[in-house]
Amino acid sequence: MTNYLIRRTIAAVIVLFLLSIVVFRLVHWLPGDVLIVKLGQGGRISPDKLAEARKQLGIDRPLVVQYTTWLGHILRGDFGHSLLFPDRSVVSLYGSGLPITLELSLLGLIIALLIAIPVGVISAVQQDTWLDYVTRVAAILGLAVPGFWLGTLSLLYGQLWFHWTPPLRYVSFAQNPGSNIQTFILPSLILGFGVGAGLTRITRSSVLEALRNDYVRTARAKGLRSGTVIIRHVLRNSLIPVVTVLGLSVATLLGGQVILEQLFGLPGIGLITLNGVLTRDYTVIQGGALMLGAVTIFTNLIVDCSYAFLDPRIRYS
Amino acid sequence: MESGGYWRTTLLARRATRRGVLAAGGATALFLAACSGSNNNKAPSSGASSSSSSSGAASAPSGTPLSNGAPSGAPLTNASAPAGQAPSQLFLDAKSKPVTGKETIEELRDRFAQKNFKYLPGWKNGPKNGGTLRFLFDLPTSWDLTDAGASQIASWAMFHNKLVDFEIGDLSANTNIQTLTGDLADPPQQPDNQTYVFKLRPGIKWQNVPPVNGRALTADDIKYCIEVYQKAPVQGPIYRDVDSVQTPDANTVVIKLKQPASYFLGNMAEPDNLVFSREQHDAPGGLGTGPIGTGPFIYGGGTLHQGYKARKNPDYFKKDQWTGKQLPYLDGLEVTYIQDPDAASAAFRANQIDQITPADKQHWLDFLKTNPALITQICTPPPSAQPYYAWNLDKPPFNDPRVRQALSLAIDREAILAGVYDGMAGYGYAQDQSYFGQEWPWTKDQLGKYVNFDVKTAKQLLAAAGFTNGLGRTIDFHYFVSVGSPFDNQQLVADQWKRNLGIDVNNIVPPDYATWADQFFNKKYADVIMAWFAGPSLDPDAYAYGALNSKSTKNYFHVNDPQIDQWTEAQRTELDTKKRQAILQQIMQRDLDQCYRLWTLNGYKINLRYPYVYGLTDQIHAWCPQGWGSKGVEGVWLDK
Repeated sequence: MTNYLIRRTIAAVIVLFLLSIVVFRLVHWLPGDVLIVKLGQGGRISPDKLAEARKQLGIDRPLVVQYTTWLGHILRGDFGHSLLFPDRSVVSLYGSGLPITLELSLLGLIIALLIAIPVGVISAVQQDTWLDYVTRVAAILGLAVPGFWLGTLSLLYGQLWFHWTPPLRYVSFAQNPGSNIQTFILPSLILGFGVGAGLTRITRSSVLEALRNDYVRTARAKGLRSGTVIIRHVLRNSLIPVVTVLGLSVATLLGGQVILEQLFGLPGIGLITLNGVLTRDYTVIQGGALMLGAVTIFTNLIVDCSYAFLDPRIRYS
Repeated sequence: MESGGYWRTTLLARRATRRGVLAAGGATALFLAACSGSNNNKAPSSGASSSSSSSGAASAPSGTPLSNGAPSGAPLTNASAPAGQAPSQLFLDAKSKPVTGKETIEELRDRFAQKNFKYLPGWKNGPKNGGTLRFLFDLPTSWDLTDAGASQIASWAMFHNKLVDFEIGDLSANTNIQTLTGDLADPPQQPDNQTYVFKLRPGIKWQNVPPVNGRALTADDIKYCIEVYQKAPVQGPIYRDVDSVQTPDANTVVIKLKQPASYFLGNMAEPDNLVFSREQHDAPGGLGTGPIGTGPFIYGGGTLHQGYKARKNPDYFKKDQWTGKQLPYLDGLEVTYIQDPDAASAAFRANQIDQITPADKQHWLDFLKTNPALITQICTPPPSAQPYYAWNLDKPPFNDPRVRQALSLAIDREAILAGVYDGMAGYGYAQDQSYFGQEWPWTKDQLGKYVNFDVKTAKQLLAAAGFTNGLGRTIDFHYFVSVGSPFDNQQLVADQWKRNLGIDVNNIVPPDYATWADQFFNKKYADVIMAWFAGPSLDPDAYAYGALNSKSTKNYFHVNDPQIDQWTEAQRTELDTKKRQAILQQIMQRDLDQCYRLWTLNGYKINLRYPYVYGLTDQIHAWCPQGWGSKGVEGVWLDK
């Protein structure tokens, strides 16, 4: 296992290095720069002042110089400051958004699992009954219906029918649990519904496959109750694909739910990254991409290692 | 309009597609950021002293426009009451009288005019103290007033003051016309053409926060600001003609110019000139640490992309020029950032915020359906926010005026007015019509023959230019980042060129503001690009010299017309208002005749507020409470 972890770590470093080059080049290919955004439409300044401003921002240097300087700082743990908000470091920007995205992701995942596991199991066990058909249609709907559409409708009809809208501002759970729950309830449900739909289908397929195995027939022949067979034998073996998809979902979720964050006024990582791209805030985009890349790699590593726990036959050398 | 702010946001709650929302995410705040004003120092309104007089203009301060009897666009009066008298009935909401959507624009302007607001029932007993105004906005990219992005800081002017200001509020005579007023000082005396003497008002103190700790403002503070601003990238041009700043005593600032400058006073009233302290400027972190000024509100902290709070400045020096009461009336401000227009609309309907600016007529009517008691103000848009189409004048075919004129004649503007704006728009041009004594919009006569719809003449012009079937190639038409009416406007223009002249158009819609800005400001567009802003400024100079002089950094279109160069230079030093108006009109006519830019239509501004809100009005150059109208919150009060 140790060798495996060392190999994965080395591979992770190489992947992150390549990622930094790709992201750096891509963002600098985008038309416009942060200064043009900062000036706005009314703030056109003289050419000499423009050149001075570009120099202050560091965007006048050749790209190679900009990249190596930035990389050097990264290796020292310094992700730099936002070009648009010079008093905010990239780490503090993402740091302020992380709890929000984490909370939204966690709540969404919990709701997704609460939906997916029982519904997927029931659907598989009751295959080809009306219950199975209903759950499958619901899962398709969950996959097909866009979250932003649901979110917009929920805001609109929530206000029109129930005279209720979520609180305008995010507050942490510690500051005000009631307001925090009200802020997150709608986006979490919408997120959970979407993610849960996919997980439901995966769970159903995995459970169906596991149910066909000989050990299940043996367990039943031994007189075990159906519930015991499902929970103790079938579910555990079915979980590997589910965990894999879950791991991929976590990475996606932590990347930020841009549309939901925007709709519900949650200044999470997604919104920070989106605004970074729109304003050509290179340090924010690059720093965010690296951080998210690292999280994705680390999450996948945990997922891979969990296989060994779930299935004793799997061992890493 | 003159809104500052990277977020702009606003301001623009539009019926948006997801793409539009993402585009608006970057663009909306920027839209709010651009402000323009016109320098229209009309004869003083009540309470404001006259600005200084130029030699030879016995009754008018220098730069002050006289009404020249412009025949059209004259301010409308409430049809049911003679001027100055209360109307027999007010219909400022949809509860007292429904809004059908079929009213003419004249009826709407008259009914929802700001000048009717003084007759609202709350004004009988006068302003009340207390309450917190809640509206939508965000934090700026930087609090540094001397930064390259400083033009956007105007949206946070409630923490500062400047020497002079423009009137805004329910009790202003007419917010469709610019009126100069005092702020830290009364409008100045002018002993000669190149000298401005400002007398600071008594009792002005800095806010009681470190490092200024409530000390008195002095003339030396003003001098220090001006000297810093002279070297700043955004404000530098405003003070380019300043030769010296003297402070003969603690309350007097004497600004001497190198030459007469007709635009100087108007520029001084712009929100770029917020006064800051030496202590803060010189301290570690400088002005970027936060907004500290003499203003009506003290910054109470905020979080990026969430909003901020402010509390009343108990030591504020100013009294309401109309009621004589101490300002501000409010206890505080609560500002929240909502990027999504639908979420913003829901928040307003739920009364989580007190004011909103609907994107267009349909949005406005939708709000009135669910909340008929809302108070509406319909205001004219500023000269800085008149959409236009810029050509690439450097190469064929648009270096030929006949081609430009032909494309202008091929546009049926009346169809756009009816189809896109449902009548709630006017003919636009980026020059301050109120400097000429009239309200927006310009009339077709004033805008020349090329705003008419005349396909026959258009084809003749194209033929004379050597084009008998389209332009011989597909032209690139870069849209501005927008949704709703402005987007539809562009689509219709492209469509009409195709249908009427057979011109193939490649519609290029940028994914975000930065892409559009790169095309426009770096002159990368091959043929035509739609733009939104000129100036911004409170003086016609920005729309004349700024936009059209070949040496101007804001001449984005590379207009290089020696006649225009001569005239734009001349109007800068012409202090006689009538003569200056004549020169500006010549510039305007030449610009229109040559079709250096193509003008279409612009929608009216609509301000919606809850009925308990008073004093919160738009002004020609300002959306309130965002943008250049942010300072207007000092006069807002709540009847709750």
